[in-house]
Amino acid sequence: MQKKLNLKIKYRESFRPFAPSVLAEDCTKHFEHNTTSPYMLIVADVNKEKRSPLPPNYNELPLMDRLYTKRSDVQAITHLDFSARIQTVHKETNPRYYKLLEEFKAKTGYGMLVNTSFNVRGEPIVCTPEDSYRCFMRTEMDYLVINNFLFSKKEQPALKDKGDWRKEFALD
Amino acid sequence: MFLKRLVNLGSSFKFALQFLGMAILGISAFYHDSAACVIVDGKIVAAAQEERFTRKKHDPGFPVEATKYCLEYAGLNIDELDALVFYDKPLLKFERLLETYYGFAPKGLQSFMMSMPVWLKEKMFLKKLIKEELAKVGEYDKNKLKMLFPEHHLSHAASAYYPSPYEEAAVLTIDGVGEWATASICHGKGKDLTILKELKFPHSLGLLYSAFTYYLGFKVNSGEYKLMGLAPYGNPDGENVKRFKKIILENLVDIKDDGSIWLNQEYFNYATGLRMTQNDKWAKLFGFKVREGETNLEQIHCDLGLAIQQVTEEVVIKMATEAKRLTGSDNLCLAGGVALNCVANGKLQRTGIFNNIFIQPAAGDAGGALGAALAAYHIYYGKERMVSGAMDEMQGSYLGPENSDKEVELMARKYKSTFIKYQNFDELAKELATILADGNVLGWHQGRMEFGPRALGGVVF
Repeated sequence: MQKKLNLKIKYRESFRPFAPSVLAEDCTKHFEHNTTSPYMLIVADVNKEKRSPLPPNYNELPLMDRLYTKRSDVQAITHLDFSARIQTVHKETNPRYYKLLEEFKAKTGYGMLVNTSFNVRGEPIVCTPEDSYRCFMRTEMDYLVINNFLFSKKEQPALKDKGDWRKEFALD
Repeated sequence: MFLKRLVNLGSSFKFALQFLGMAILGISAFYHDSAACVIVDGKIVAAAQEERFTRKKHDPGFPVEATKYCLEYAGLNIDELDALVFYDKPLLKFERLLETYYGFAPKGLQSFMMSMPVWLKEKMFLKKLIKEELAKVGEYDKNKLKMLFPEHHLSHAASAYYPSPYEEAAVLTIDGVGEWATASICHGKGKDLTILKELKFPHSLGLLYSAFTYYLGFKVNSGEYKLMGLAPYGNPDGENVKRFKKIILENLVDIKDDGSIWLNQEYFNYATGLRMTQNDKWAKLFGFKVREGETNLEQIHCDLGLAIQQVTEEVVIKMATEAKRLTGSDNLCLAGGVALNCVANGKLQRTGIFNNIFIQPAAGDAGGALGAALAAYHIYYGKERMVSGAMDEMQGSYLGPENSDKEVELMARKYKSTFIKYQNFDELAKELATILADGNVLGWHQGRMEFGPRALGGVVF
């Protein structure tokens, strides 16, 4: 999943880690972190009992082999050293995202989603519905939701692009 | 609250008195990540970075569009502002440039020639420039506009302390460089914010980290995040990391007990040159050459990344320990570019030096706009500070523009796109949960845009 998201959606280096959004109440269930982290600015370790055992030569493995070694039940957001950059989601400040996490939890048992900024490499985070839609159409994102509007990729007409959009934003 | 303007309602000679709160516009611009914010009676009403509107990442230009948005959201025009506050002091920065140049002459001539005209033309005449740029936002009375210029690090410290949930706190700011200070320890109490200690240029933890960012092939001022993400690929048990750390501590940086650092300028080039490091000397020290951007990452790069990350953590923890000693506080507020090093933040939290930590989400220069405005309100105007009891006063950092359904419909018409509009969000959330549980990737665009570099609700799966 990390590979797909990095290379097919964000068009950025495959080594870069992803961060989890977690229901504030569920944070301690998954992570060694007992306070809030609403702004994704604190890194904490995945709980010991959630970790997978590592091969004895783990630290000597080639980079990408190490990256794709199973480390936990939430692999995409568990960095190589078991750390994760947590965003706790709170009902008061982000009710809709909180609701989405609650529904996801009801369905899967996990009140947690992988969250990454809405942009491709070198592009600022999207601002208008048009920015969002274009970014959605140019990447392998499957669905887009803006306010109460749901767009499915399969249903969309092809985006008419002038030139190679990947040159639109300089690599950072 | 005070009398803001008098409106003559025409021939009936009746006067309506309109009372507005104290409105302050904060601006940061001309370096990197320009931004604007509006606070009314000390409350943050709107804040946004210019890059989101111009689609130029880290846009350093005057934030015309962000300012327009903030004023419009607050329902204000420029003449209704009590002050425009700029996030640093142009003259101090100019002096640093001048003194650095003399201090290191004649090596620095190239850098001086390159940067001087910009500083001379733009920064020395900053007031004039700001006034001109502001005219692009809207018409206003140039003689009436009041401009304030709090110090760079005071702005950063203010951005961390005033929106925090604490009545009293130690405040630590660490970044590249403002005027002369590269890090500061302050004490906030009620509306007061006092600077206790400062670390001065060229000794800077931010610039040290940036030097390694550069040497490992990433862009300075934006690639620091990548370096932090790379560090865990370093082998913590291997010989390399230990050896690199030793080399760094013996040759590049001397860490004092109080967390202040001394950088050996023989190895750096940022004070006088246009590059960060003396590449030949570094190659000799570490045994490999500067990595060119976009080339293969090798284990040795990751090991060096881990070594500098560990050194950074050590300095941050020592600085925090000193802040604790000076203030005796249980609470810590963090800001400045280095405060975005969430790995160091996590380590700091687990030391337990402070019971509570608040980190300003717009910790880089964009947050300077916010801090400058808050500093003006509480320090310059001496207004009292209220702690509301919320998690903090940043409102989740959702301070940017919000899109109406109408705008979404217009966009959909333009692209002839197909969509389903849900009447009820709860129903939509259920559908989305199913979509996500099936392993799909979803673009999430909801509510007000976030202020700061992190996406607090973007693409999810």
